[in-house]
Amino acid sequence: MSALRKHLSVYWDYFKQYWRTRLVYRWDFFLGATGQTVNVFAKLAFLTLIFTQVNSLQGWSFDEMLFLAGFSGLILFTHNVFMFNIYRLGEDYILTGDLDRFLVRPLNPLFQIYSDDVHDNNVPKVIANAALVVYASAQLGLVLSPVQLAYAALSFVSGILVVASVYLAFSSTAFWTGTSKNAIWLIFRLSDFRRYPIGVFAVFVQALLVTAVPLAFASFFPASFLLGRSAYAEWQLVSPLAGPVLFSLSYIFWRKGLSGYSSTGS
Amino acid sequence: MNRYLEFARIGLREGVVYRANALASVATTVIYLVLMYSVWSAIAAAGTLEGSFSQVISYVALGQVVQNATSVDMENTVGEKVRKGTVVNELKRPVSFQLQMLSYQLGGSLFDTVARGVPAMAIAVVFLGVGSPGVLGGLAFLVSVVLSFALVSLMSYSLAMLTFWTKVGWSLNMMRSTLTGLFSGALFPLYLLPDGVRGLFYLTPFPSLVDAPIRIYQGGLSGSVWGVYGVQVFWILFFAVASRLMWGKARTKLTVQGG
Repeated sequence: MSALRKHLSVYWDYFKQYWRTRLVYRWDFFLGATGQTVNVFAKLAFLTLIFTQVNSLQGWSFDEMLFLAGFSGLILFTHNVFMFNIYRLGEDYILTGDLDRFLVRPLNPLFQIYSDDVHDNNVPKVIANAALVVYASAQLGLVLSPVQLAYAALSFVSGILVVASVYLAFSSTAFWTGTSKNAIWLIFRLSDFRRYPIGVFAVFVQALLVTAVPLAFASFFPASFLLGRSAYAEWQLVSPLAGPVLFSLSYIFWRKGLSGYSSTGS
Repeated sequence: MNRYLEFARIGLREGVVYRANALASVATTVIYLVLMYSVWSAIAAAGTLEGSFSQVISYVALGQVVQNATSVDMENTVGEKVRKGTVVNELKRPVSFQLQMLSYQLGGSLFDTVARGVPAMAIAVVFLGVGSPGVLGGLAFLVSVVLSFALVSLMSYSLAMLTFWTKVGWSLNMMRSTLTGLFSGALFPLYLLPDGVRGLFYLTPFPSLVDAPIRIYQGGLSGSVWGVYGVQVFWILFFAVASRLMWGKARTKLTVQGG
Protein backbone atom coordinates (compact mmCIF):
# COMPACT_ATOMS: atom_id res chain seq x y z
CA MET A 1 0.00 0.00 0.00
CA SER A 2 2.84 2.37 0.76
CA ALA A 3 4.18 1.69 -2.73
CA LEU A 4 0.87 2.85 -4.14
CA ARG A 5 0.92 5.95 -1.98
CA LYS A 6 4.44 6.74 -3.09
CA HIS A 7 3.50 6.44 -6.76
CA LEU A 8 0.43 8.60 -6.27
CA SER A 9 2.37 11.29 -4.50
CA VAL A 10 5.07 11.29 -7.19
CA TYR A 11 2.37 11.45 -9.82
CA TRP A 12 0.78 14.41 -8.09
CA ASP A 13 4.10 16.28 -8.16
CA TYR A 14 4.54 15.58 -11.85
CA PHE A 15 0.94 16.59 -12.39
CA LYS A 16 1.36 20.00 -10.76
CA GLN A 17 4.61 20.55 -12.64
CA TYR A 18 2.88 19.73 -15.89
CA TRP A 19 0.16 22.33 -15.38
CA ARG A 20 2.68 25.00 -14.52
CA THR A 21 4.39 24.60 -17.88
CA ARG A 22 1.14 24.00 -19.72
CA LEU A 23 -0.54 27.22 -18.71
CA VAL A 24 2.36 29.24 -20.07
CA TYR A 25 0.74 28.59 -23.44
CA ARG A 26 -2.73 29.66 -22.41
CA TRP A 27 -4.06 30.31 -25.90
CA ASP A 28 -2.96 26.95 -27.15
CA PHE A 29 -4.74 25.33 -24.21
CA PHE A 30 -7.95 27.21 -24.82
CA LEU A 31 -7.99 26.73 -28.60
CA GLY A 32 -7.07 23.08 -28.23
CA ALA A 33 -9.93 22.42 -25.82
CA THR A 34 -12.39 24.17 -28.12
CA GLY A 35 -11.11 22.29 -31.14
CA GLN A 36 -11.46 18.93 -29.42
CA THR A 37 -15.06 19.69 -28.49
CA VAL A 38 -15.81 20.65 -32.09
CA ASN A 39 -14.16 17.37 -33.09
CA VAL A 40 -16.65 15.34 -31.05
CA PHE A 41 -19.51 17.17 -32.73
CA ALA A 42 -18.01 16.61 -36.18
CA LYS A 43 -18.07 12.86 -35.60
CA LEU A 44 -21.65 13.10 -34.32
CA ALA A 45 -22.59 15.00 -37.45
CA PHE A 46 -21.41 12.02 -39.49
CA LEU A 47 -23.52 9.65 -37.39
CA THR A 48 -26.52 11.93 -37.79
CA LEU A 49 -25.99 12.02 -41.54
CA ILE A 50 -25.93 8.20 -41.63
CA PHE A 51 -29.29 8.11 -39.93
CA THR A 52 -30.83 10.47 -42.47
CA GLN A 53 -30.26 7.56 -44.90
CA VAL A 54 -31.28 4.63 -42.69
CA ASN A 55 -33.39 3.91 -39.61
CA SER A 56 -31.06 1.33 -38.15
CA LEU A 57 -27.57 0.06 -38.87
CA GLN A 58 -27.23 -3.71 -38.44
CA GLY A 59 -30.26 -3.51 -36.15
CA TRP A 60 -28.75 -0.72 -34.06
CA SER A 61 -30.79 2.43 -33.57
CA PHE A 62 -29.37 5.95 -33.54
CA ASP A 63 -29.52 6.17 -29.73
CA GLU A 64 -27.83 2.80 -29.34
CA MET A 65 -25.05 3.94 -31.67
CA LEU A 66 -24.72 7.11 -29.58
CA PHE A 67 -24.36 4.97 -26.47
CA LEU A 68 -21.69 2.84 -28.16
CA ALA A 69 -19.80 5.93 -29.30
CA GLY A 70 -20.08 7.57 -25.88
CA PHE A 71 -19.12 4.55 -23.81
CA SER A 72 -16.13 3.63 -25.96
CA GLY A 73 -15.12 7.28 -26.20
CA LEU A 74 -15.21 7.61 -22.43
CA ILE A 75 -12.80 4.67 -22.15
CA LEU A 76 -10.49 5.78 -24.95
CA PHE A 77 -10.16 9.42 -23.91
CA THR A 78 -9.81 8.69 -20.19
CA HIS A 79 -6.89 6.48 -21.22
CA ASN A 80 -5.52 9.26 -23.40
CA VAL A 81 -5.52 11.85 -20.62
CA PHE A 82 -3.20 9.81 -18.42
CA MET A 83 -1.45 7.22 -20.59
CA PHE A 84 -1.10 8.69 -24.07
CA ASN A 85 2.48 9.82 -23.56
CA ILE A 86 3.81 6.38 -24.47
CA TYR A 87 3.32 7.29 -28.13
CA ARG A 88 6.47 9.44 -27.90
CA LEU A 89 8.61 6.50 -26.77
CA GLY A 90 10.64 6.18 -29.96
CA GLU A 91 11.17 9.74 -31.13
CA ASP A 92 11.36 11.56 -27.79
CA TYR A 93 12.78 9.04 -25.33
CA ILE A 94 14.76 6.32 -27.13
CA LEU A 95 16.34 8.29 -29.99
CA THR A 96 17.21 11.23 -27.75
CA GLY A 97 18.51 8.96 -24.99
CA ASP A 98 16.13 10.65 -22.54
CA LEU A 99 15.00 7.22 -21.42
CA ASP A 100 18.29 7.01 -19.48
CA ARG A 101 17.00 9.59 -17.04
CA PHE A 102 14.15 7.26 -16.10
CA LEU A 103 16.32 4.20 -15.80
CA VAL A 104 18.61 5.67 -13.15
CA ARG A 105 15.70 6.65 -10.91
CA PRO A 106 14.27 4.17 -8.38
CA LEU A 107 10.83 4.15 -9.99
CA ASN A 108 9.24 1.99 -12.66
CA PRO A 109 10.34 3.54 -16.00
CA LEU A 110 6.96 2.92 -17.63
CA PHE A 111 5.25 4.73 -14.78
CA GLN A 112 7.63 7.62 -15.26
CA ILE A 113 6.81 7.88 -18.96
CA TYR A 114 3.11 7.90 -18.20
CA SER A 115 3.59 10.62 -15.56
CA ASP A 116 5.80 12.75 -17.79
CA ASP A 117 2.87 14.33 -19.60
CA VAL A 118 -0.86 14.88 -19.16
CA HIS A 119 -2.89 15.02 -22.33
CA ASP A 120 -5.31 17.57 -21.04
CA ASN A 121 -6.66 18.25 -24.53
CA ASN A 122 -8.57 14.98 -24.14
CA VAL A 123 -10.48 16.23 -21.09
CA PRO A 124 -13.15 18.02 -23.17
CA LYS A 125 -13.62 14.76 -25.08
CA VAL A 126 -14.06 12.81 -21.83
CA ILE A 127 -16.74 15.27 -20.71
CA ALA A 128 -18.49 15.28 -24.09
CA ASN A 129 -18.55 11.48 -24.22
CA ALA A 130 -19.83 11.20 -20.65
CA ALA A 131 -22.64 13.55 -21.63
CA LEU A 132 -23.30 11.36 -24.64
CA VAL A 133 -23.65 8.25 -22.45
CA VAL A 134 -26.08 10.06 -20.15
CA TYR A 135 -28.10 11.44 -23.05
CA ALA A 136 -28.28 8.13 -24.92
CA SER A 137 -29.20 6.21 -21.76
CA ALA A 138 -32.04 8.65 -21.07
CA GLN A 139 -33.29 8.40 -24.65
CA LEU A 140 -33.24 4.62 -24.47
CA GLY A 141 -34.80 4.55 -20.99
CA LEU A 142 -31.86 2.42 -19.95
CA VAL A 143 -32.00 1.23 -16.33
CA LEU A 144 -29.03 -0.82 -15.21
CA SER A 145 -29.38 -3.64 -12.70
CA PRO A 146 -26.77 -3.86 -9.89
CA VAL A 147 -25.04 -6.64 -11.83
CA GLN A 148 -24.91 -4.48 -14.94
CA LEU A 149 -23.61 -1.53 -12.92
CA ALA A 150 -20.80 -3.64 -11.54
CA TYR A 151 -20.15 -4.92 -15.04
CA ALA A 152 -20.04 -1.33 -16.34
CA ALA A 153 -17.46 -0.30 -13.74
CA LEU A 154 -15.31 -3.38 -14.30
CA SER A 155 -15.44 -3.21 -18.07
CA PHE A 156 -14.63 0.51 -17.95
CA VAL A 157 -11.40 -0.17 -16.03
CA SER A 158 -10.68 -3.22 -18.16
CA GLY A 159 -11.33 -1.19 -21.30
CA ILE A 160 -8.77 1.41 -20.28
CA LEU A 161 -6.24 -1.39 -19.81
CA VAL A 162 -7.16 -2.85 -23.21
CA VAL A 163 -6.48 0.48 -24.89
CA ALA A 164 -3.30 0.88 -22.84
CA SER A 165 -2.13 -2.57 -23.91
CA VAL A 166 -2.58 -1.71 -27.58
CA TYR A 167 -0.69 1.59 -27.25
CA LEU A 168 2.05 -0.03 -25.16
CA ALA A 169 2.56 -2.96 -27.52
CA PHE A 170 2.71 -0.81 -30.65
CA SER A 171 4.91 1.83 -29.01
CA SER A 172 7.31 -0.80 -27.71
CA THR A 173 8.22 -1.74 -31.28
CA ALA A 174 10.27 1.47 -31.04
CA PHE A 175 12.92 -0.46 -29.12
CA TRP A 176 13.72 -2.15 -32.43
CA THR A 177 12.67 0.49 -34.98
CA GLY A 178 13.40 3.74 -33.14
CA THR A 179 10.02 5.22 -34.04
CA SER A 180 6.63 4.87 -32.40
CA LYS A 181 4.59 7.81 -33.64
CA ASN A 182 3.72 6.30 -37.01
CA ALA A 183 2.62 3.01 -35.43
CA ILE A 184 0.42 4.92 -33.00
CA TRP A 185 -0.99 6.97 -35.83
CA LEU A 186 -2.32 3.73 -37.31
CA ILE A 187 -3.91 2.80 -33.98
CA PHE A 188 -5.41 6.25 -33.86
CA ARG A 189 -7.18 5.65 -37.14
CA LEU A 190 -8.18 2.10 -36.20
CA SER A 191 -9.76 3.38 -33.00
CA ASP A 192 -12.46 4.98 -35.19
CA PHE A 193 -13.77 1.42 -35.72
CA ARG A 194 -15.00 1.40 -32.12
CA ARG A 195 -18.07 3.45 -33.05
CA TYR A 196 -19.74 0.75 -35.13
CA PRO A 197 -21.36 -2.63 -34.43
CA ILE A 198 -18.71 -5.23 -35.18
CA GLY A 199 -21.01 -7.01 -37.61
CA VAL A 200 -20.55 -4.12 -40.03
CA PHE A 201 -17.03 -5.28 -40.79
CA ALA A 202 -15.64 -8.04 -42.94
CA VAL A 203 -14.46 -11.13 -41.03
CA PHE A 204 -10.75 -10.27 -41.25
CA VAL A 205 -11.41 -6.84 -39.74
CA GLN A 206 -13.44 -8.43 -36.95
CA ALA A 207 -10.58 -10.83 -36.30
CA LEU A 208 -8.18 -7.88 -36.14
CA LEU A 209 -10.38 -6.15 -33.55
CA VAL A 210 -10.16 -9.09 -31.14
CA THR A 211 -6.49 -10.02 -31.72
CA ALA A 212 -3.82 -7.60 -32.91
CA VAL A 213 -5.84 -4.49 -32.07
CA PRO A 214 -8.37 -5.85 -29.56
CA LEU A 215 -10.35 -2.64 -29.25
CA ALA A 216 -13.66 -4.54 -29.46
CA PHE A 217 -13.18 -5.44 -25.77
CA ALA A 218 -13.15 -1.75 -24.96
CA SER A 219 -16.13 -0.79 -27.09
CA PHE A 220 -18.55 -3.10 -28.84
CA PHE A 221 -18.68 -6.09 -26.47
CA PRO A 222 -19.19 -4.26 -23.14
CA ALA A 223 -21.52 -1.68 -24.70
CA SER A 224 -23.73 -4.33 -26.27
CA PHE A 225 -23.94 -6.15 -22.92
CA LEU A 226 -25.08 -2.95 -21.19
CA LEU A 227 -27.65 -2.42 -23.92
CA GLY A 228 -29.01 -5.89 -23.20
CA ARG A 229 -28.07 -7.37 -26.57
CA SER A 230 -27.51 -11.08 -26.29
CA ALA A 231 -25.36 -11.73 -29.36
CA TYR A 232 -21.65 -12.36 -28.70
CA ALA A 233 -22.46 -13.41 -25.10
CA GLU A 234 -19.12 -15.19 -24.47
CA TRP A 235 -17.16 -12.17 -25.70
CA GLN A 236 -19.20 -9.89 -23.46
CA LEU A 237 -18.41 -12.05 -20.43
CA VAL A 238 -14.66 -12.07 -20.94
CA SER A 239 -14.48 -8.30 -21.56
CA PRO A 240 -13.93 -7.31 -17.89
CA LEU A 241 -10.99 -9.75 -17.81
CA ALA A 242 -9.50 -8.84 -21.17
CA GLY A 243 -7.82 -5.65 -19.91
CA PRO A 244 -5.63 -7.12 -17.15
CA VAL A 245 -4.64 -10.09 -19.33
CA LEU A 246 -3.80 -8.07 -22.43
CA PHE A 247 -1.97 -5.38 -20.49
CA SER A 248 0.17 -8.03 -18.79
CA LEU A 249 1.11 -9.42 -22.19
CA SER A 250 2.03 -5.97 -23.48
CA TYR A 251 4.00 -5.29 -20.34
CA ILE A 252 6.05 -8.46 -20.90
CA PHE A 253 6.71 -7.27 -24.45
CA TRP A 254 7.77 -3.84 -23.15
CA ARG A 255 10.14 -5.46 -20.62
CA LYS A 256 11.65 -7.52 -23.41
CA GLY A 257 12.28 -4.42 -25.46
CA LEU A 258 13.63 -2.52 -22.50
CA SER A 259 16.07 -5.29 -21.60
CA GLY A 260 17.69 -4.90 -25.02
CA TYR A 261 17.81 -1.10 -24.79
CA SER A 262 21.18 0.56 -24.90
CA SER A 263 21.47 4.31 -24.75
CA THR A 264 22.24 6.37 -27.84
CA GLY A 265 24.81 8.09 -25.72
CA SER A 266 23.87 11.56 -26.86
CA MET B 1 13.39 33.16 -58.01
CA ASN B 2 16.39 30.89 -57.66
CA ARG B 3 16.50 31.55 -53.95
CA TYR B 4 12.95 30.31 -53.54
CA LEU B 5 13.71 27.23 -55.59
CA GLU B 6 16.43 26.49 -53.07
CA PHE B 7 13.89 26.61 -50.22
CA ALA B 8 11.61 24.29 -52.15
CA ARG B 9 14.53 21.92 -52.67
CA ILE B 10 15.18 21.84 -48.91
CA GLY B 11 11.52 21.07 -48.26
CA LEU B 12 11.58 18.31 -50.85
CA ARG B 13 14.73 16.80 -49.37
CA GLU B 14 13.18 16.77 -45.91
CA GLY B 15 10.10 15.01 -47.25
CA VAL B 16 12.33 12.32 -48.77
CA VAL B 17 14.25 11.87 -45.50
CA TYR B 18 11.01 11.36 -43.57
CA ARG B 19 9.51 9.08 -46.21
CA ALA B 20 8.38 6.61 -43.52
CA ASN B 21 5.74 9.21 -42.66
CA ALA B 22 4.40 9.02 -46.19
CA LEU B 23 4.26 5.24 -45.99
CA ALA B 24 2.36 5.45 -42.69
CA SER B 25 -0.12 7.88 -44.16
CA VAL B 26 -0.81 5.54 -47.08
CA ALA B 27 -1.51 2.85 -44.47
CA THR B 28 -3.86 5.14 -42.54
CA THR B 29 -5.63 5.94 -45.80
CA VAL B 30 -6.18 2.24 -46.41
CA ILE B 31 -7.53 1.81 -42.87
CA TYR B 32 -9.86 4.76 -43.29
CA LEU B 33 -11.14 3.46 -46.63
CA VAL B 34 -11.77 0.00 -45.14
CA LEU B 35 -13.83 1.65 -42.39
CA MET B 36 -15.77 3.82 -44.82
CA TYR B 37 -16.34 0.92 -47.21
CA SER B 38 -17.73 -1.22 -44.38
CA VAL B 39 -19.96 1.50 -42.98
CA TRP B 40 -21.35 2.67 -46.31
CA SER B 41 -21.98 -0.94 -47.43
CA ALA B 42 -23.99 -1.48 -44.26
CA ILE B 43 -25.90 1.73 -44.94
CA ALA B 44 -26.56 0.72 -48.53
CA ALA B 45 -27.74 -2.70 -47.33
CA ALA B 46 -30.03 -1.22 -44.68
CA GLY B 47 -31.80 1.58 -46.44
CA THR B 48 -32.33 3.72 -49.43
CA LEU B 49 -29.12 5.50 -50.13
CA GLU B 50 -29.45 8.67 -52.13
CA GLY B 51 -27.60 8.03 -55.36
CA SER B 52 -25.58 4.85 -55.72
CA PHE B 53 -23.20 3.14 -53.34
CA SER B 54 -20.41 3.33 -55.91
CA GLN B 55 -20.86 7.08 -56.21
CA VAL B 56 -20.54 7.53 -52.43
CA ILE B 57 -17.51 5.29 -52.10
CA SER B 58 -15.69 6.88 -55.01
CA TYR B 59 -16.44 10.32 -53.53
CA VAL B 60 -14.92 9.20 -50.21
CA ALA B 61 -11.91 7.64 -51.97
CA LEU B 62 -11.30 10.75 -54.08
CA GLY B 63 -11.55 12.81 -50.90
CA GLN B 64 -8.64 10.80 -49.52
CA VAL B 65 -6.68 11.32 -52.75
CA VAL B 66 -7.17 15.09 -52.61
CA GLN B 67 -6.37 15.28 -48.90
CA ASN B 68 -3.21 13.22 -49.30
CA ALA B 69 -2.07 15.29 -52.25
CA THR B 70 -2.69 18.61 -50.48
CA SER B 71 -1.52 17.93 -46.96
CA VAL B 72 0.03 21.06 -45.47
CA ASP B 73 1.12 21.93 -41.95
CA MET B 74 2.62 25.37 -41.58
CA GLU B 75 1.13 26.03 -38.14
CA ASN B 76 3.57 23.63 -36.51
CA THR B 77 6.53 24.59 -38.71
CA VAL B 78 6.16 28.29 -38.00
CA GLY B 79 5.03 27.73 -34.41
CA GLU B 80 8.19 25.84 -33.59
CA LYS B 81 10.36 28.59 -35.12
CA VAL B 82 8.51 31.23 -33.12
CA ARG B 83 8.66 29.31 -29.86
CA LYS B 84 12.36 28.52 -30.16
CA GLY B 85 13.15 31.97 -31.51
CA THR B 86 14.88 30.61 -34.60
CA VAL B 87 12.39 32.58 -36.67
CA VAL B 88 14.92 35.42 -36.55
CA ASN B 89 17.03 33.41 -39.00
CA GLU B 90 14.26 33.58 -41.58
CA LEU B 91 13.65 37.25 -40.84
CA LYS B 92 17.30 38.17 -41.29
CA ARG B 93 17.36 36.91 -44.85
CA PRO B 94 16.71 39.46 -47.58
CA VAL B 95 13.72 37.51 -48.89
CA SER B 96 10.01 37.57 -48.07
CA PHE B 97 9.10 35.45 -45.04
CA GLN B 98 5.85 34.32 -46.63
CA LEU B 99 7.48 33.20 -49.86
CA GLN B 100 10.22 31.38 -47.96
CA MET B 101 7.66 29.43 -45.97
CA LEU B 102 5.43 28.77 -48.96
CA SER B 103 8.24 27.54 -51.19
CA TYR B 104 9.55 25.32 -48.42
CA GLN B 105 6.06 23.88 -48.05
CA LEU B 106 5.73 23.50 -51.82
CA GLY B 107 8.85 21.32 -51.89
CA GLY B 108 7.61 19.11 -49.07
CA SER B 109 4.18 18.82 -50.66
CA LEU B 110 5.63 17.91 -54.02
CA PHE B 111 6.96 14.79 -52.37
CA ASP B 112 3.67 14.16 -50.56
CA THR B 113 1.67 14.47 -53.77
CA VAL B 114 3.70 11.73 -55.38
CA ALA B 115 4.33 9.51 -52.35
CA ARG B 116 0.85 9.81 -50.84
CA GLY B 117 -1.54 11.07 -53.50
CA VAL B 118 -0.55 8.64 -56.25
CA PRO B 119 -0.86 5.45 -54.11
CA ALA B 120 -4.20 6.71 -52.78
CA MET B 121 -5.38 7.20 -56.36
CA ALA B 122 -4.16 3.73 -57.32
CA ILE B 123 -6.08 2.20 -54.41
CA ALA B 124 -9.18 4.16 -55.35
CA VAL B 125 -9.06 2.99 -58.96
CA VAL B 126 -8.03 -0.63 -58.40
CA PHE B 127 -10.03 -1.58 -55.29
CA LEU B 128 -12.91 0.85 -55.15
CA GLY B 129 -13.72 1.05 -58.82
CA VAL B 130 -13.31 4.79 -59.25
CA GLY B 131 -13.89 5.38 -62.96
CA SER B 132 -11.81 7.47 -65.30
CA PRO B 133 -13.01 11.04 -65.93
CA GLY B 134 -11.40 11.08 -69.38
CA VAL B 135 -8.30 13.06 -70.35
CA LEU B 136 -9.88 16.51 -70.24
CA GLY B 137 -11.83 15.70 -67.08
CA GLY B 138 -8.64 14.47 -65.48
CA LEU B 139 -6.85 17.68 -66.41
CA ALA B 140 -9.72 19.77 -65.07
CA PHE B 141 -9.53 17.76 -61.85
CA LEU B 142 -5.78 18.34 -61.57
CA VAL B 143 -6.20 22.09 -62.03
CA SER B 144 -8.74 22.09 -59.22
CA VAL B 145 -6.38 20.07 -56.97
CA VAL B 146 -3.64 22.63 -57.61
CA LEU B 147 -6.06 25.44 -56.65
CA SER B 148 -7.02 23.44 -53.57
CA PHE B 149 -3.34 23.16 -52.66
CA ALA B 150 -2.85 26.91 -53.04
CA LEU B 151 -5.88 27.54 -50.86
CA VAL B 152 -4.91 25.12 -48.10
CA SER B 153 -1.38 26.56 -48.03
CA LEU B 154 -2.64 30.11 -47.63
CA MET B 155 -5.16 29.06 -44.98
CA SER B 156 -2.48 27.23 -43.06
CA TYR B 157 -0.09 30.15 -43.45
CA SER B 158 -2.74 32.59 -42.17
CA LEU B 159 -3.27 30.46 -39.08
CA ALA B 160 0.48 30.11 -38.71
CA MET B 161 0.60 33.88 -38.25
CA LEU B 162 -1.44 33.39 -35.07
CA THR B 163 1.39 31.33 -33.59
CA PHE B 164 3.16 34.65 -33.01
CA TRP B 165 0.59 35.00 -30.22
CA THR B 166 -0.11 31.39 -29.20
CA LYS B 167 3.55 30.20 -29.57
CA VAL B 168 2.27 26.70 -30.28
CA GLY B 169 0.80 25.53 -33.56
CA TRP B 170 -0.77 22.28 -32.48
CA SER B 171 -4.18 23.62 -31.46
CA LEU B 172 -4.49 25.82 -34.56
CA ASN B 173 -3.59 22.93 -36.82
CA MET B 174 -6.03 20.63 -35.04
CA MET B 175 -8.81 23.20 -35.27
CA ARG B 176 -8.24 23.61 -39.00
CA SER B 177 -8.17 19.89 -39.70
CA THR B 178 -11.31 19.33 -37.64
CA LEU B 179 -13.22 22.06 -39.47
CA THR B 180 -11.84 20.86 -42.80
CA GLY B 181 -12.97 17.32 -42.02
CA LEU B 182 -16.45 18.48 -41.14
CA PHE B 183 -17.15 21.02 -43.87
CA SER B 184 -14.98 20.06 -46.84
CA GLY B 185 -16.45 16.72 -47.84
CA ALA B 186 -13.50 14.74 -46.46
CA LEU B 187 -15.69 13.09 -43.82
CA PHE B 188 -18.86 12.54 -45.86
CA PRO B 189 -20.20 13.44 -49.31
CA LEU B 190 -21.67 16.91 -49.16
CA TYR B 191 -24.32 16.08 -51.75
CA LEU B 192 -26.02 13.82 -49.20
CA LEU B 193 -26.73 16.76 -46.90
CA PRO B 194 -30.19 18.34 -46.71
CA ASP B 195 -30.36 21.37 -49.03
CA GLY B 196 -30.43 24.04 -46.33
CA VAL B 197 -27.46 22.62 -44.45
CA ARG B 198 -25.49 22.15 -47.64
CA GLY B 199 -26.08 25.79 -48.53
CA LEU B 200 -24.50 26.79 -45.22
CA PHE B 201 -21.51 24.54 -45.83
CA TYR B 202 -20.94 26.17 -49.23
CA LEU B 203 -20.70 29.58 -47.61
CA THR B 204 -17.45 28.48 -45.95
CA PRO B 205 -14.09 28.12 -47.75
CA PHE B 206 -13.82 24.43 -46.85
CA PRO B 207 -15.78 22.79 -49.72
CA SER B 208 -13.29 24.43 -52.10
CA LEU B 209 -10.61 22.19 -50.60
CA VAL B 210 -12.04 18.72 -51.21
CA ASP B 211 -15.59 18.81 -52.53
CA ALA B 212 -14.66 21.08 -55.46
CA PRO B 213 -12.12 18.80 -57.16
CA ILE B 214 -14.34 15.76 -56.55
CA ARG B 215 -17.34 17.43 -58.13
CA ILE B 216 -15.26 18.20 -61.18
CA TYR B 217 -14.02 14.61 -61.28
CA GLN B 218 -17.48 13.10 -60.90
CA GLY B 219 -19.43 15.70 -62.82
CA GLY B 220 -17.35 15.64 -65.96
CA LEU B 221 -16.80 18.75 -68.00
CA SER B 222 -20.08 20.55 -67.68
CA GLY B 223 -20.49 24.31 -67.61
CA SER B 224 -20.11 24.45 -63.82
CA VAL B 225 -16.34 23.84 -63.89
CA TRP B 226 -15.55 27.53 -64.30
CA GLY B 227 -17.92 28.35 -61.46
CA VAL B 228 -16.12 25.88 -59.19
CA TYR B 229 -12.74 27.35 -60.15
CA GLY B 230 -14.13 30.84 -59.54
CA VAL B 231 -15.12 30.07 -55.97
CA GLN B 232 -11.75 28.45 -55.32
CA VAL B 233 -9.89 31.48 -56.69
CA PHE B 234 -12.05 33.81 -54.62
CA TRP B 235 -11.00 32.05 -51.41
CA ILE B 236 -7.37 31.95 -52.50
CA LEU B 237 -7.41 35.74 -52.94
CA PHE B 238 -9.27 36.14 -49.65
CA PHE B 239 -6.61 34.26 -47.69
CA ALA B 240 -3.76 35.86 -49.63
CA VAL B 241 -4.99 39.27 -48.47
CA ALA B 242 -5.80 38.04 -44.95
CA SER B 243 -2.34 36.54 -44.49
CA ARG B 244 -0.67 39.77 -45.66
CA LEU B 245 -2.65 41.78 -43.12
CA MET B 246 -1.92 39.29 -40.35
CA TRP B 247 1.76 39.26 -41.17
CA GLY B 248 1.79 43.04 -40.73
CA LYS B 249 0.46 42.60 -37.21
CA ALA B 250 2.50 39.49 -36.38
CA ARG B 251 5.93 40.92 -37.20
CA THR B 252 5.47 43.73 -34.69
CA LYS B 253 4.29 41.20 -32.13
CA LEU B 254 7.38 39.03 -32.28
CA THR B 255 9.03 38.49 -28.93
CA VAL B 256 11.99 36.18 -29.03
CA GLN B 257 12.08 34.08 -25.91
CA GLY B 258 15.55 33.78 -24.47
CA GLY B 259 16.86 30.30 -25.24
